[in-house]
Amino acid sequence: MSASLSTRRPAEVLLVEDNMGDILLTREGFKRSSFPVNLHHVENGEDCLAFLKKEGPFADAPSPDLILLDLNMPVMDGREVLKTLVADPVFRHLPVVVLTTSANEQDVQEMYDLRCSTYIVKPLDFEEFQRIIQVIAEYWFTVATLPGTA
Amino acid sequence: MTALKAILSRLHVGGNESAPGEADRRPVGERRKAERRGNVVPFYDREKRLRFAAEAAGFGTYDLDCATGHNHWSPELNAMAGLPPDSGPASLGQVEELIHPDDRRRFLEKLRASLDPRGSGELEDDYRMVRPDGAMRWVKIRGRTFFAGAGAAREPLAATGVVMDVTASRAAEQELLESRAELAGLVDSAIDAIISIDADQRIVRFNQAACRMFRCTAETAIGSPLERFIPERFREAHRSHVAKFAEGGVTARTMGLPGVFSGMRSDGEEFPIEASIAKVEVGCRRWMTVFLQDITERKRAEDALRQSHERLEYCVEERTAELMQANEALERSNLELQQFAFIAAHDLQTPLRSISGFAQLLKKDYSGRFDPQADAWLDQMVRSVHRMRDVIHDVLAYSRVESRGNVFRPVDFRHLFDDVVAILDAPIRETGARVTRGDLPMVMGDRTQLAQVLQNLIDNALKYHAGDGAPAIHVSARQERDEWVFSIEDNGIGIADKHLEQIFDIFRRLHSQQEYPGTGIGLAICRRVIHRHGGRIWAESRQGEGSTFYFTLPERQREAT
Repeated sequence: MSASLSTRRPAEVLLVEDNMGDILLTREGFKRSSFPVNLHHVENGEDCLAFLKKEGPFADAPSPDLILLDLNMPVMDGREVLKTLVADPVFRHLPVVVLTTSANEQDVQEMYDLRCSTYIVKPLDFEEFQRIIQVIAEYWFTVATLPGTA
Repeated sequence: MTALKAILSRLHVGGNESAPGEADRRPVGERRKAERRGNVVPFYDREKRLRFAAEAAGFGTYDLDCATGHNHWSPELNAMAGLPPDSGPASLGQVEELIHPDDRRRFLEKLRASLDPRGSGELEDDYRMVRPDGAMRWVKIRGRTFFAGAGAAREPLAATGVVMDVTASRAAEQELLESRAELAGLVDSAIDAIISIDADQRIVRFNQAACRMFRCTAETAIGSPLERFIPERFREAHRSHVAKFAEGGVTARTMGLPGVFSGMRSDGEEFPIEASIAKVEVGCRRWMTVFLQDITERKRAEDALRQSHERLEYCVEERTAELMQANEALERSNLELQQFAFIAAHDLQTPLRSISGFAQLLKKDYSGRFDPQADAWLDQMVRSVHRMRDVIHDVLAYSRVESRGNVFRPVDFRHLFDDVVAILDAPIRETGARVTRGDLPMVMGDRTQLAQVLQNLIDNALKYHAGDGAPAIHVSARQERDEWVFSIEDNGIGIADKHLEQIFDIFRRLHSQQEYPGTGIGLAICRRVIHRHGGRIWAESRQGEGSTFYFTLPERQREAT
């Protein structure tokens, strides 16, 4: 009956994030959630695109079910990544959750204008962060129907 | 002597037939004989005709017999003197009486001179005659003395002549003289140069101002062509202009020559002139008068004024450009500062999150494996992180007052009050505070920012309440001239006078975190927001009794920012 992901296999999640602290905390957050997740991570926008295209070191990379995208990164930031993805017919179906420190209204507006799936401001408190990861997983892996899983 | 008398009687032209006289007393037959000998008009006819002529002309005649001193006046002369027709003055003394005292001496001298055998015998002069009724007449006398004999024997026989009343013409003449003198005085004392020219544009009048202006005498100017005082290159234009004016119907106007109209002094110096011209025509004579003003000084003043004006404009432009540059630089640096604050705040949050996150993870996963001291330290770490988060949050808010402000819209402060009280529900309950309001107005502003101000001020009032008793906070507003003055009054701990101004400075705190936690940015944000709205903010307080915070907002915003 259920078209959700959780019942079939671990979810493939690509975290695009340059800060090691946030990477570790996110990994910890998923580890403590009740869902099996394969968390992959790249540190900038260029690597993100390479990962999706399975180029170079990412030749064996899986196609992600969900992208968690930070905005402020070196080399190629999150805004450019999202711009590129929505313009690409191969990738524009991918759900992108913007997960960022920026509570800037302008950023929120811009990302939704680019049709991001959700915009979440990272909280400082780990308990709160843990809750948010749990909600993301629960929603995308048990409630939402993702493309290619129907 | 008899022969002389005869000549006298023959030449007697003004006599009266009835008047006594040597000639009249001659026998008629003798007279007739003489007339026949001379083949002339009969004596009585001629005399009569002359009498008629004198009468018609209004002349009076007189006749003085030098031998007898007898004087005879015609009835016209008697009338002229205001005497009955038949009773003229019989003697010279009586005549003298009729002459104006001021003229008497001159009259006698002249008369004496005319009777002098060595002289011509001619008498011609004007005198004032005073009538018995006191009225005065000007009379002109033209007379002649007849002499007999030669050399030392020459002696006057009779003096005779005509007298004309010239009072009227004397008055007219006097009037003319006076008006001419007056005109000459006017023209000469005029500040403007006044030059009259005839139909050939030759100078006929040249006043003193003209002499000064052109540096020459009137004598040298009069008779010369006007062009003499005009620089060569303007002569043609000037000549045709004046000629055209002379032909036209207008009698006076300002001379509107194109370009600068210049005059030329005798020494060749040119100078700017303003001219007007008037035309006079009497009969077939025509002349024109030009009025000239040397406007050298005025031109100089105008030039100086224009130059200083241009200089001023230049200065203003320069200053404006400088100001614009400074303004741009300021805006740029403001923007850079805001970006800096924003980025700094953002980049500070990321490592902070790591510290906070891992401290919490440590505490969670390793709880009980540390001793209580380690647990306390971990707690302190997390508290410090939260405080730093608050500071970063407020710094961001402060930096955003200018850069992230919203467009001004009508804000109903009554609703704003309700919203703020709802947001502060928890601390209000905790402290048991009573928050009330008076009537609040509608103003133009940035609702989010104004809410922030009201929230900060009420929050402060709640925070700094006196230990004993619940806080009482009242928000009200009154109109003063063209602005609203808001007040937030509390019964809290109050603020010392010396701190009343400092409290609005950023990071300025009067208490320790343990006494009253805070970032020291709240009131700085309030001040920034109120300034952005064109208002002022200040506080009044009595320590221990409470504080009142005031802020103003213009009744009308100049423009939506």
